[in-house]
Amino acid sequence: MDASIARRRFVQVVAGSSTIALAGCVGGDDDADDGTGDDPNGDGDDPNGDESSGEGSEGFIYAFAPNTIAIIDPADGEIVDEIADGLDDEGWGDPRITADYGEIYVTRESPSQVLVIDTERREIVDEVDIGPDPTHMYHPNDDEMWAHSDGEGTFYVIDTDSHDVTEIVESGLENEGHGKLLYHEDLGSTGYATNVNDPGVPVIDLENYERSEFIEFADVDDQGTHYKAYSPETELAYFEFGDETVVVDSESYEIVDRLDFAGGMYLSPDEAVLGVLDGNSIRFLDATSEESEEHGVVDVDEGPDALRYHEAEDGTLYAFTAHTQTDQASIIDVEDLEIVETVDIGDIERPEDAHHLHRSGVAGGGYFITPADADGIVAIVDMEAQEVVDHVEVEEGVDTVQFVGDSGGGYSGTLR
Amino acid sequence: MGSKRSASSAGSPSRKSLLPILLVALVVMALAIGLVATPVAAHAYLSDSDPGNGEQVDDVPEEVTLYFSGDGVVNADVVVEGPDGDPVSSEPEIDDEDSQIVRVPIDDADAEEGMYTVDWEVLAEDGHTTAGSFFFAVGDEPLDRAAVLEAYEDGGEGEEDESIPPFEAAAKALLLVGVAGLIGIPAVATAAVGPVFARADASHRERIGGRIGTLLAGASGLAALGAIALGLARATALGPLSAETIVQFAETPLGQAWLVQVALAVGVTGLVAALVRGHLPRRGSLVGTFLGALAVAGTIAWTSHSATAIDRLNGTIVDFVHIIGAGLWVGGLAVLAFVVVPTVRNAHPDDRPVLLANVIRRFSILALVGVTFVVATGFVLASWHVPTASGLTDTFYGLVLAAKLLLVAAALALGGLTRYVLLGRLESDATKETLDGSRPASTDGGSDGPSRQLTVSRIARAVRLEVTLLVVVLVLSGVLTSAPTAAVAGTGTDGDAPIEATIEYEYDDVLVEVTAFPAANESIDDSFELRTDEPIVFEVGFLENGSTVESEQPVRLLASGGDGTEIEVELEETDDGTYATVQPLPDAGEWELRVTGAPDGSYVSEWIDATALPAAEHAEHDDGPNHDHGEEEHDHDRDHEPADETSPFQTLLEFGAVATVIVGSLAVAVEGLHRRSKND
Repeated sequence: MDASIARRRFVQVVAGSSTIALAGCVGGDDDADDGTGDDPNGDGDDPNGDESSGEGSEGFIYAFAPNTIAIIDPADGEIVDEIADGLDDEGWGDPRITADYGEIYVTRESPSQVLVIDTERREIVDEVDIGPDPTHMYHPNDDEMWAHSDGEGTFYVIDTDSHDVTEIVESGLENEGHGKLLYHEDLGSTGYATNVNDPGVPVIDLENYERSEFIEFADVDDQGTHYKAYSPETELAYFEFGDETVVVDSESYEIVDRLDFAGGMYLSPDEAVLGVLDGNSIRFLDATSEESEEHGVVDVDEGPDALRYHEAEDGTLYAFTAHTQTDQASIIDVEDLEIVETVDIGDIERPEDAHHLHRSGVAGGGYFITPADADGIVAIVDMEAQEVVDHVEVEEGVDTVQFVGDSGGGYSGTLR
Repeated sequence: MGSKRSASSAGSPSRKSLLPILLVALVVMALAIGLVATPVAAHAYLSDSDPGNGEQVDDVPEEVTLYFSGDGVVNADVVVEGPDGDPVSSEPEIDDEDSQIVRVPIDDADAEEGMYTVDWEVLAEDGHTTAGSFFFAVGDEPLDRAAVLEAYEDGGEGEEDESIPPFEAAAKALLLVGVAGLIGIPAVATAAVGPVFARADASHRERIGGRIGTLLAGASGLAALGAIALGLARATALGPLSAETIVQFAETPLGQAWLVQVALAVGVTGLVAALVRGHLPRRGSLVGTFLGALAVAGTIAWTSHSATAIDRLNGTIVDFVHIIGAGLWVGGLAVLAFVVVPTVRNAHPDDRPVLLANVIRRFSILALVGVTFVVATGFVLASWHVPTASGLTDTFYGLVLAAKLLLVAAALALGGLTRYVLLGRLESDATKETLDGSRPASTDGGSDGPSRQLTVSRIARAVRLEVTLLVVVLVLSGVLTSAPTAAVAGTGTDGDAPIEATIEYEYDDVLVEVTAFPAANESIDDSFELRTDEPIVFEVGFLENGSTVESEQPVRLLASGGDGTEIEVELEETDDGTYATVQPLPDAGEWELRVTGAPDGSYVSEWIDATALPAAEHAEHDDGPNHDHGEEEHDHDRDHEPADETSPFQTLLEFGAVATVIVGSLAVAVEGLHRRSKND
């Protein structure tokens, strides 16, 4: 442990009367950002063009490996810095960058904590104790990070100024289970949680830090909810529930549809297309359609994951997906519903006892960035040129990446 | 004046041959002390077990093995109770090759998971009973806090009965007094009194013989009575006194030693009876009595703390020499007090100072040898049984030993007064009165100046007081040999009272108390010192204005080991509003403990440093994970219980032993030379 990090003793007292800035209401971030990173700052500057103000990390990639966090300049394909102090065979969960890109929060499996990294100083500045088995983390407003404790089925709300846990929000009905949070600026102070143990969706009051309601999908006890997405155009929320996708009207909380496929869901930057990972296929739905009409299906056959979009200069929408079964990524023309290119992105570990394989990937700075833990590299793909520009050697086990800038990540497709 | 001449010149050949023998004996003793000065315990104390105390095992073991330190075990009563409280074990078996190992087969456990309690009671080779209990768990389920606390409150591994059995102590005291007399009386009678009175009047010799016979009869009676009573007292450890219990006891190694002891004591009594009645030659009877007494002393030493705990040979030798020394000193004094002084009072006045002085001078050499023996071996025994200075004041054994030492010091002072002041004065008075011719005629026709008479009376009183003090010392020795030694009493591995360590933190209005029980030590600098593989009850309490506050979130304990081991458990709320769990720390080394909770909605997270001491530091029985108790290993352990290193106090005592032998040897040599020059 880094002795300079004051993690040993802290207490957070609930400030029950604190007002929470609603998601998207304060930061002024462009929810419609497509996440491709063409202009992450929105000011027209090249993200890598100016490093004059201190060390900084703008436009860089933080790659999380067991014993190091490598800071990669994707333009040069080089590691510009490393953070290794206090890291020892870590298991990483979600990283999440603040709206101002000043800090990256990343969940650490053991001890169950959230590490706070100052992107300007490129160092870990705090370790925040949270509940057991944290995986996902969300940033529904500028002032808070919500880290989900799968061991408790709760969200630990971390103040981004003080780095204190200010609230613990009970989400899952059974006080445990892997969970996620769906939020969007259009949803106001309402969020929807998923939990693999719950046969429905807990509605979370983001302002009052409580589970206000539960939308039940079925009277069963052997299925739960997992992936989620939201279409602001139709105000429909999509939830993976067993082998189907349940579509819920976010206004009335009524179930309006049940789609007979399910998987990870990724909204395009223009919020018009919703890609659903359905086994070895990717289904592209019309996110503007009340009926969730399907544009078509693309068979990838090699375990597509980590779907990210890029709108080319000619206006064509491409989807980039990293394979879990091969060392490649496919580039899909969404309009033509065909794979137009495959690129070598390195290989991942495939443990025999793994229930399912996962491969992360983000978009940012015009790059599709995905780690390959078996090869210990981070692959950087130029999304416009549709070619690999570098395989940056980091460390075996590197499995998580975060772009400093607008990565357009998250299952909803929003910035946060 | 024939008697005077005879008194002053008698016994020279004997004297010349005796001194070198005694000096050689003392040198051998000094060497022996250097070889055997090793710390030991006494009684049988549980030092380890398999499964260990609090150990969690996957399946019900086929047997439970108990490893004892200190004395070996001659009888074991061990019962293993299953989770439902019913016995699941069959008869325990003492290892044929190592009596410190007891195995208890488990034959009816039905593979039931839960907590198993082992209640044990053993009779050690030194004749003392110890008892205790411990527990282990089968299965993965966390141990029940209440059950664990109850187990610790019941004494954990050690619930040894450290009380002194009064009947046994009294019997042992009788035996020691009797044996001391049987050793010292014949020795002094033969080596000191006999030669001096060899040419005395027949009536004197007859009177002396009668008095010695009476003394020997008393001593042999005490020895026989003490021996019989001691065995009966020890037999009660196996059950209420009955013929069956005695037979059962007689079948144990300790009981067999007892039978030999009783036989020898009764035999010596018979020999003394024959001597008194004149059926046997006097000199031969005295030699036979002396040898018989040595044999009885040998049986005492054979079953002593030292012999059974340290090493059969070394312990027996040291204890044996200790008894011989005491016998020479005390028995000899008894002869002086109850045989010589009354006889001298009836002698011709002119012969009185010479007879008395000659006997004292001869006795002094034997007494110096005896004192050297008893003090030197006493230092060795103290170094074994009272390894620390605090043991001298903090334990019953130490206090009794201290009292004994004070009495011995007083007796030594009286002996020194007799030998170096009163004896000198007696001889000086005699010389002066002879030279100035001023001595008045005594009523019986001789000359008995008032000064010499006074000195004789003072010598008689000093000797009687000295022998009285030493008899009290022997009685205290009986108590000592029946008590747990300071090396183990109250401070032994299993006698430790569980320590509760608490760390407090204040958060605004909330006081967070984190408690670990048992801990190796009190909390230091907000850190815990715990022991590995021991079920530790961690308890967290949130207090506000003295009242417990409920946590709105689960209270969790995360234990993070230096090697990457992570254990996270949720604490259960107890009836008193605190939160607790039972969690062993599996590996030795540094740990970080994190306690989280949300009293009144306030999220609290606290990191606490903890050091897990290896279990071996607790049990003093480093057997490794497989509990592989090889013969060699166990012997090693036997020699080093309970302390592995010699304490400064022990070193001091060992130094005292060697110094005593050296000083004693010099004193014996000087005394011998002085006597020779006197005679020349």
